[in-house]
Amino acid sequence: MDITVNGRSWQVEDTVADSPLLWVLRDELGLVGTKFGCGVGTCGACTIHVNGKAVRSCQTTPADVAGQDVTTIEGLAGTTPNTSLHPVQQAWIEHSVPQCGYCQAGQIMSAASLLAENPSPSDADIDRDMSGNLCRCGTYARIRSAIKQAARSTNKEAS
Amino acid sequence: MAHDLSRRTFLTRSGWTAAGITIAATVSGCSLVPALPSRNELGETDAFTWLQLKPDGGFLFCSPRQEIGQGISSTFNLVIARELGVELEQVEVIAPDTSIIAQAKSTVGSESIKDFLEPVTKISQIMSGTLRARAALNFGTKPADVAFTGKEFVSGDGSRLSLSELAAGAPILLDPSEAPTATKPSQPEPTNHLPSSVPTDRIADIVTGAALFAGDIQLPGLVHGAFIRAPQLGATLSKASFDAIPQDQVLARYFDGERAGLVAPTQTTLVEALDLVEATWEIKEPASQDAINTSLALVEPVGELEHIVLETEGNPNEQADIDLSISIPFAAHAAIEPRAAVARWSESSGPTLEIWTGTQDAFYVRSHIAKHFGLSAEEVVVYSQRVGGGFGGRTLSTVELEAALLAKEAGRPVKVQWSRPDEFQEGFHRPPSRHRIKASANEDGVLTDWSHGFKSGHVIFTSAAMPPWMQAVTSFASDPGTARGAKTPYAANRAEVAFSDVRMPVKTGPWRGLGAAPNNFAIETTIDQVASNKGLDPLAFRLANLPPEHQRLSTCLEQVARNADWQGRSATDRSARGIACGIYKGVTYVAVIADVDIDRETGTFQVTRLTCTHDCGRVINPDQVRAQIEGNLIWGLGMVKSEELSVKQGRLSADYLGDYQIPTISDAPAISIELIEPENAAPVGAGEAAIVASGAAIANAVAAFTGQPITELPIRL
Repeated sequence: MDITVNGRSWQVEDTVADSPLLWVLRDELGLVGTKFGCGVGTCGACTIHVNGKAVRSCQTTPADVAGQDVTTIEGLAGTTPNTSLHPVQQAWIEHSVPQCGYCQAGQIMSAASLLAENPSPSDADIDRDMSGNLCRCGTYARIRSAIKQAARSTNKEAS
Repeated sequence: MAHDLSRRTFLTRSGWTAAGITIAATVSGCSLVPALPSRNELGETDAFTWLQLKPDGGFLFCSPRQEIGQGISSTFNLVIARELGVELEQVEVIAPDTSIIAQAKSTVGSESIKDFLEPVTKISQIMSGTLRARAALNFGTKPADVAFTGKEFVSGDGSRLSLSELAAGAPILLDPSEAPTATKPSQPEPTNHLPSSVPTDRIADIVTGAALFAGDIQLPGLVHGAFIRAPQLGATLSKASFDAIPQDQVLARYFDGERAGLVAPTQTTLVEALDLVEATWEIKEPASQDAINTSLALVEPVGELEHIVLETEGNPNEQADIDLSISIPFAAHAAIEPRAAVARWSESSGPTLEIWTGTQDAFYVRSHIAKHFGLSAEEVVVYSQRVGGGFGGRTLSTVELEAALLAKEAGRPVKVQWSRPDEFQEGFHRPPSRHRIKASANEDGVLTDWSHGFKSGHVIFTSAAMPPWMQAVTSFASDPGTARGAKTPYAANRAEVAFSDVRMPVKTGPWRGLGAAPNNFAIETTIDQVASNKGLDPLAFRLANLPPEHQRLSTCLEQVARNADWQGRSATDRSARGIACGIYKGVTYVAVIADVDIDRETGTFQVTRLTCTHDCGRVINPDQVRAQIEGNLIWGLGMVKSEELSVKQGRLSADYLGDYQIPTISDAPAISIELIEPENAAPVGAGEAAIVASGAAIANAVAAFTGQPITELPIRL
């Protein structure tokens, strides 16, 4: 079967159609930026976009995404024209958000999805939307600041 | 410190090395002695293997410290660039494999700056001097007449020589024999245009999803392996049958009488096949929380506990103003990266066994695995990957051996990726502890009596790393990890602190701050109560009872009070404030004020702000120090608000992160931090300090609200 990931069509074997998309992305397509953290959808490390919306790739299968647009952290920058990094990625660097870095791809994918729906989120909006993305290093204060900065820079760009 | 730790001086020095040496001397042939975590001190010339000028003109620093999220790589990058007078980008910091540098001790204890700043600075200066001397030789002039632009050396007559031309096709390494004659460069340094802080190492790779972690390793022919797991703690495998697994589903089956594992082409087929292994387990005595609680019960007087931490001439009064029994549970590291390792055996030239893993102690992994397979250390090479959260949890060798066993069986490279239940059930945890503290103050608000007895599972001499016979030997010794932070910083005329370590049926070990987080929680909870009992402000009471030698702690307290505008506990019908402080490893000082909103009806609370002052001496990379403090504050919050592990039905109570709740972004308060840098104070660690105060500050706020001290964690309203 075919799936579309980061704007490109990939052929995957029918035998994995009902496997977790997470392992297909990582082991079959070599897109290792999407992380395994729990396998049951409680940590958010494996967050990807399906048609621009954040979903947990450990709870999704190739069959689920047939005919839809999948974006992983490797392809996120490519979803915004004329930039080498997505505004969320840029803000993450400016605030030096990551410590160990393991959960951050998932955090960034969730944040980008949040901003696509809500261009100016409040602290409460951020907390509600991001509370399924766990970070053990405790980078949450910086995550909030970075999301707000990405929102500002995106809105400025748009105006 | 060590001399007053133990009444029984069976092992007189603290730490692993001491244990290894002492025991090795008593066992003929030493073959029984397992590999132990690396605590070797830095050899005089070890540092010379770390830094080189590459033929392309860039500098390569092979870091002796693992990158576990503490940001040490970027800090070393800054230090080296400053000393060499070059741009940050000209220095590449890598985690070297174990064949490249001299054996480095484990990355633990917030020691990277305290112990390594000086040698890293020194070799950078020596490199600078060596290059200048070589350039001078090339120009036929004196080193003092050579200028360095950051890219090129320039002689008095205007001749120029770039770094790559100087290298002339071969790396320039440091020669230890040249060391004594090397001098500091005469050029103005450090270069003042470098930023004062540098961001997280490899941040561009992190935010774009580049391969950085052990699980990201891809090799030709790589397949997936796993072991079946015991259904209960202490269960032993007596039989394993693979008959129910379809022949073509797996690539290899492994059973050695103690453990059974499988290798399969994909992670998905592997997980399905594991379910089909039919295993028979035997359990002699199921572990129970009741038995653990009984073993921790403090029934004897403090004077009869095994290890004395502090003892004054006079004994504290039995009748005390405040008498608290404080109970602290097991806690998990719960790093978001479940550990993973890749192993590859080779029969051709080069290393016999290669291991890719994220670890705090690559050299221990090497020695542990070499010993298991009867290989020399040189035949095993460990390639360190970035660690997806260390916190003390990656100090042993576990998944690495599993990968090596299965790769050997399968005859091809194998990746073992622990599951989340593996992390909880097979990993090790912070031991639980029970504390009894009796304390009194006189009418003048002077602390007069302090008696702190506690029992805890082991932190260093733990079953997670030692065979039973060695546990028996070390049970006479005071566990330095358990004892950490147990000495009260407050002056009391009559004081005693002592503890006993108790063998747990659960694997235990170092967890951020080791004993300091629970021990200081107990101390700071009690101090607050003594102050309340006398109707005194908890800040004023602390300041009045800290001795002059802890002036830096007093300064942290005074400053945090100013920054948070402390006017007392300020309890209302929906909020309160709490304060706490502490000293970590005798060198890092921290004070925290917590603002907490409390909802009586729902029985919940929300920490709205944590204000922190932190003194770890001279700060090298302020933003990374702040990041470490932020993490510590959140860890303290999790410790008191939600984190709890216990034994239920013979196994740990959590398999998934829903069963063991770490803080989410919804729990995270606003944070303000001030770094205090006393003049001429040596730079020390920041990785585990603020945790000792943040939990107690939050709990003291809740206590101010309810009028009752928090004596059991996590807090239940």
